[in-house]
Amino acid sequence: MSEDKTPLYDDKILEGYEYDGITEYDNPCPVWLLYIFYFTALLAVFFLGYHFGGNSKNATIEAYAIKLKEAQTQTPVETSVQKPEVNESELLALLQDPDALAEGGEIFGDQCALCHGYSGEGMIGPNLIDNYWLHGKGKISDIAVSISSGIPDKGMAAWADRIPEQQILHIAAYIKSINGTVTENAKEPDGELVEE
Amino acid sequence: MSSSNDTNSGLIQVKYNDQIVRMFTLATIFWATIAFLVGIIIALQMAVPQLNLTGWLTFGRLRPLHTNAALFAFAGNAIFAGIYHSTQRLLKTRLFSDGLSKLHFWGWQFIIVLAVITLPLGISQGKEYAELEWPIDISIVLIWVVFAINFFGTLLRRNERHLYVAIWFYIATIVTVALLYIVNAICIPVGLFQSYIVYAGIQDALIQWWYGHNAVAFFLTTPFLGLMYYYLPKASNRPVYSYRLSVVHFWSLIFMYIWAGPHHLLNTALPGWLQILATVFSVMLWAPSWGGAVNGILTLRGAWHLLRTDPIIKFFVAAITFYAMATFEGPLLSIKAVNSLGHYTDWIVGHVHLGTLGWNGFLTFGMLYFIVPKLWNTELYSKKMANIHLWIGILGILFYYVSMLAAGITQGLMWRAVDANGQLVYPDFVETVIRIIPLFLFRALGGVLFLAGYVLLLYNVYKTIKQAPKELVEETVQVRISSSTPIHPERGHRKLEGMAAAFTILALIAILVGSIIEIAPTLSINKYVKTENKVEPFTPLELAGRDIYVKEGCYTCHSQMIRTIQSDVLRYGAASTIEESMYDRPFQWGSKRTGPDLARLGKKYPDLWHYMHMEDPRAVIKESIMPAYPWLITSKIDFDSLQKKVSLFNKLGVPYSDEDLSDANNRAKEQAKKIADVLKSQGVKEDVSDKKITALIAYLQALGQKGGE
Ligand code: HEC
Ligand code: HEC
Repeated sequence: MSEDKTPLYDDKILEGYEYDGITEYDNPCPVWLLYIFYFTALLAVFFLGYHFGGNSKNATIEAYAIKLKEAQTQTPVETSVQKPEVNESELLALLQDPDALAEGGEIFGDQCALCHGYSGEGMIGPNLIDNYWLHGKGKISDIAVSISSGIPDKGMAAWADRIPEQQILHIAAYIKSINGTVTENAKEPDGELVEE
Repeated sequence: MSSSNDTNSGLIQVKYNDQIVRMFTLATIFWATIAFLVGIIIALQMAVPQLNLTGWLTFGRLRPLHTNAALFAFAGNAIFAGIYHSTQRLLKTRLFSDGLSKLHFWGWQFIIVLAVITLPLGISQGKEYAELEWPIDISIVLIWVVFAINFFGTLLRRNERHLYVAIWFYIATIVTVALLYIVNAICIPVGLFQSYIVYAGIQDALIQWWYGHNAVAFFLTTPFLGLMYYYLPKASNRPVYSYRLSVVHFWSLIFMYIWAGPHHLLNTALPGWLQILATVFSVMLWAPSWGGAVNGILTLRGAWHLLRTDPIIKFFVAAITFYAMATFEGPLLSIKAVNSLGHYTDWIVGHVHLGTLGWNGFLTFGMLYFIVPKLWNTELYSKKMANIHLWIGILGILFYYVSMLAAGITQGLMWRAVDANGQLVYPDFVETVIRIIPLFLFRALGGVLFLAGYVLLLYNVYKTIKQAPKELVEETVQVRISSSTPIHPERGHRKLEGMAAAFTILALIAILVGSIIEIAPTLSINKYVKTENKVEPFTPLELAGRDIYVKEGCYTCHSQMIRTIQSDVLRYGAASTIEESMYDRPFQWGSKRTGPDLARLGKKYPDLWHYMHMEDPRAVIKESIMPAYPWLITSKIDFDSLQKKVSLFNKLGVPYSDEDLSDANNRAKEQAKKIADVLKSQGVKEDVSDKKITALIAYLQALGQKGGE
């Protein structure tokens, strides 16, 4: 047996058992480790009681159902996406601004055409040249809101983080300006008809 | 020793089989390199999706390669090297059979090569850590049996009456892994490269995670604890701190571990009692797990100076520390409330790597630095280099873990953020992805550091072996045949340690209790499936699409399980039910949401959206990190095999109509034509009526549309 194995502390080596030079002390399990075990066992009893003792096994599901209901019945709080602080008549002036429209058209071709078609006739996304709107009433500000906050559930991301607000307004004006044009392969209308 | 004045017992010479240990050692070192490299590639792909260069290099296929390589190739070979090396010495005998040892070695390497070829080809069973197809499964089981015979044969020829604690852990490992692997892999082949698992939906989920969790327990924990119990006292030359602690924590660990599997399915459609059992046993695992860590660390009492001078001891201490961290975090993550935040996020990925890189990696590195010089009769080439390896490695692990913890919690909080109107604050999934991409890069950096440290090991080992003497002699020892009767009468555990067979059977019983109680009820009766909720099976074309989903490994990024928590329901729709996946083979509930849940994806988007999104996700969602799948548009659907698959499913109890049964092939073609025609009218130029994309779209549009809610 190797020399430097003189027990430190008052550990006692278990005599008669040696495996390839390895011996073992006869120490007890550390007390604090046992306390951890008792603690987790208590926790376990608590979890079990919570689960089986409660009068409903679906406590979690019910809790969230209640929460959901509460949230829905509350009066809507002002949403985080605000409508641009500009009035519609100011925006309509953009329709007379060829630079703004050109810029809007360019971005539309780059970013939007793949889903809405080059002429706004609709593909993945809805037709933007008819007078039917899913979101809002087809005013420039409505269109701008759809663009900024997106319709993530339906596959259009929010653009507010990626396109500056000014340019979003220009795109919206561009869409408004092509509204009413006619192309052959236009997609069926979606949403509600808005009478001008 | 007790036998110091023994004169009449005979001395025999025992020559150890070190050649096989050398072979497994080199294999460990080689495969570790591959596993780490693939890990870094997929880590980078998460941040830079353009790195998904071609089909066989996409994330969905490489991720299974990474996990399988880490588990079976790196950890597997390390375990075999360590077990063969230590067992011979602990039992004072040569391995049972040189032939079986060689067969074991070459068989295992052959299996790994097959895995390296088939996984990138998309040949996969679609079950995590059990992706390998049935011919490889069979080979694994056969080679495992060879290993078991070789090991237990050695046990029977031992010249040491008692089994040391390391051997207990080896026994538990061998028995349990065999059981887990076989039960989880039972499937029905439909071709050389494809099969369907016999379990469906919830049964499959339960068995998969019973397996998956216990792969961690009995492949990454118990064998490594055994290795720790041998190499730590050897390297530090100190007695083990407490024999009694060894006994208590060994039995409590293996008994309790097996119950914890369903903690991978918390807040899902799994019956509540299984979830609570998993939580309870996971939480109670804290102390037994720490038992091993404490026994390891306290063994070093009185040898603390080694912690300054000996890199091997440093690696062991770091490994045990990481083990203690991971086994504290595990119980924490098993509490439902914590789990609802962490599950499906990168936190879990961080947790796993704390264990694999920290515990398995570092313990193996320590072991390699210890045995390589011994096996090659020389000194370690450079201690200093080993020290640098240690510190770079620790840095790498911390980078990895901290960035994944931050990514997981950030994304988890974003997913559940709800405003005062009860609306999601981040309804756009990709927003929650963009936020953590920088952390993905940090993680990759952590991986690079870890690999950089490992390269030092490669060089160090190379130089060590190079300076070794030409002729390697196998270690020979004089063994005194101990008399078969013990010196003094023995009771209790000491007596059991002398009875290898009884010990093995008891260990088997310990792991069978939890297994049977949890799994049997779901297998014997379909008691959890409400039959009044009628569920339509997938049409033949959708089935073909599902096969593509499985083969491409979409489940590595997408779940199909809406949990019973508010934010999941808000984001994805009503919580998933057991019925909805009752015909799913394999189940695809998933374990990670790098992308959104797809359980109720059907009808959300038009077909064209999916077409364009699959061809190039970034054309539709600019910041998407999903790989592009352009080859799905050009490669063809395997219509011919559908007939066979449908009738197999029918035999397994899936209610297909007579038309589907008699004419699956044509029914699929009809459905595909319809989809392709619509796509064409919307501007898709190619005719895709016989292309994989069409089958996949059919499947995606069917998700959540089959009833059973
Ligand atoms: C990935 C495809 C996609 C892209 C890219 C896209 N959209 Fe959309 N868009 C949609 C979809 C889908 C809808 C319909 C949402 C619905 O059904 O409620 C939509 C809706 C809209 C609407 C509301 C239409 C209505 O009827 O109320 C507007 C306006 C709009 N998009 C503008 C744009 C603009 C401007 C861009 C470029 C900056 C753009 N979209 C880019 C897919 C897209
Ligand atoms: C590397 C991880 C990854 C892999 C692998 C992956 N995806 Fe995705 N997936 C994403 C991410 C991230 C998103 C969210 C951004 C987007 O829509 O592109 C996503 C989104 C989606 C969506 C849109 C879901 C929705 O509700 O908006 C579908 C459908 C989809 N993936 C299908 C698949 C299919 C089918 C496969 C396998 C062929 C697959 N994905 C493989 C990461 C992945």
